[in-house]
Amino acid sequence: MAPYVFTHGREAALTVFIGFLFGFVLERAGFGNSRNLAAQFYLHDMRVLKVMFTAIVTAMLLLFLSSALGLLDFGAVSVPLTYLWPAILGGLLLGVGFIIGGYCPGTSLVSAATWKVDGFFYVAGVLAGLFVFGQTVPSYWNFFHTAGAWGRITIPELLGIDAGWVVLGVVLMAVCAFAFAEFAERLLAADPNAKSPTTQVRRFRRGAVALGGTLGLVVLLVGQPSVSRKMKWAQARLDQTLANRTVHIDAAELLSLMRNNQVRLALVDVRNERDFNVFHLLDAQNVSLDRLQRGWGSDLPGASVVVVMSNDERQADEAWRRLAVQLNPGNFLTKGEGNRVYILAGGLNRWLDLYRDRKTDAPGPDVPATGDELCRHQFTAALGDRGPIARPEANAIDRKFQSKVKVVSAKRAAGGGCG
Amino acid sequence: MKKQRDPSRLWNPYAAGIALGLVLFGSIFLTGNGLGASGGLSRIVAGVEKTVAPAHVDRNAFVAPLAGGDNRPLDHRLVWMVSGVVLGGFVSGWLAGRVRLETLKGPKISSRMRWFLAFVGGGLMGYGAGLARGCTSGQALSGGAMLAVGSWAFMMMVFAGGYLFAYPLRKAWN
Repeated sequence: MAPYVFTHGREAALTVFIGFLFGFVLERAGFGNSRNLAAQFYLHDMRVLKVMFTAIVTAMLLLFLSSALGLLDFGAVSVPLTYLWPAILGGLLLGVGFIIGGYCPGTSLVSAATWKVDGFFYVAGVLAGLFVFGQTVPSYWNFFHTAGAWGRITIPELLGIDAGWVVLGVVLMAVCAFAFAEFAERLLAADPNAKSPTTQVRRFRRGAVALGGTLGLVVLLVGQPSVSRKMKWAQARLDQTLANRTVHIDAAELLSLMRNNQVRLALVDVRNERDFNVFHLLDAQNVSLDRLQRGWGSDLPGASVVVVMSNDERQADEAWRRLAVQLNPGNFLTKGEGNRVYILAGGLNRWLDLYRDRKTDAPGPDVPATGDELCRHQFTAALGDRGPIARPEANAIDRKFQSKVKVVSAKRAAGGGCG
Repeated sequence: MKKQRDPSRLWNPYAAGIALGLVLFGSIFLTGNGLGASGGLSRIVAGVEKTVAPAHVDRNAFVAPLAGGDNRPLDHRLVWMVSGVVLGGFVSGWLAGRVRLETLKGPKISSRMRWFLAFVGGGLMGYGAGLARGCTSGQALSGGAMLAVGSWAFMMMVFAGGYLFAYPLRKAWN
């Protein structure tokens, strides 16, 4: 499942190639010429709006269509992180720089590459601006990093609706913008005898609008993959992994992770609230299967290891399926890609057998716990995470384990773009 | 028979937009990353700073992660992309007969004035791109297609800024 991981050399070659096409198209669009770009702001040539919006709509439709069809894992795409206020201020500065200088950084490179002197000066200006920025931003570091820092968030996520609605909305907005652009150009055209569009052009436009609308509708009707759809896609791998018990870890291994301050660990306890309140591990979060089903966890920030647990294993296994497709790259479809979600073998019942009752002969992680998911241990009060059993000393009991957890650095979408 | 080259001939903007969209989608689909330009330039600046004053780089909170210590600022996908953009722009311009040493400007201002404005505009753009963590390529185009919240706010502000100052600057362009 896309996107793919390349070796360093291949990624370099591919990126240069993509950049080549990028530069080529920008030049062909006329964006190596500042006059074509500045004309946008005087409304008599709306080339910039047309090219940019068409590109955004094209890429957006293909992107969300391939995500809906399960060809692309959108969770692994580097979506630029939202830092609202710096983006707003920076955007304003960029717009002003655009109308004064006539380029943006990408187009000025193309302009300089085709030997335009103003392009050279513009690139020099950009480099100088970036230099000054680097020297001054430490003086307002907090603003830069915290003002409206919403993280990786898309408009559909912000609104809490399926991406299809927003995709359709953007297509509609683009069509309106294009209609306005054509109207403004005809109204303000330098050439009063400018031809009105031929029938052929009209037919082509109508076709393009229909195609865009249809694709948008398909994106909406198919919908972005829900947790249950991802689980269905990955079912064979999920079943096999659970059967092989490669993700069930021993209580002692979990304890070693809890005692390891180099691991960013997230503990997910899926029992009911009563059991959770009576006893849970230190720093565990109580999350119901229902919430996992609705997609909770897609925003577990950068935790490198996630361990799910219940009283025995049945519920934890179910929870694991949901988190595995949400958190692992490629929706856990592709073999050989890192897993970072594990299950506490034997559940909390076995944990308590070991650390409360000191039954050091409790079975190892390869022995499943087939219990009925009831807590078999009696507590006289709701302890929560008070007391040493919520996180025993590392050497509380003498128990050997074979380490199964591989700590992978979080591969999911850190952020990207120009950064 | 050789076809006459007309340097003023450009692609239809919608066709160019579709082509650009396909390149953008290809980049995201294959590598998980969009397009970018200012990030690469930022790393080039950091690289120069590192050769001139490495100790200063290590002490600057913004530049240090790019170039401090053992980091190699130029070994980054956005720098490779910048080299591709320059190459692609040159090849396209060369094939179309548009590679020529000239200054593009409005008819009412001198070349020197145009150079000055280009430098000032570039400076503002560079500063803004740093602040916004991206430019029209990385934020507006790439983030826009991914429907990122900040990218759309950014894009609206770029147009707002442009239109706000279009009238006072009309002599520079028309």
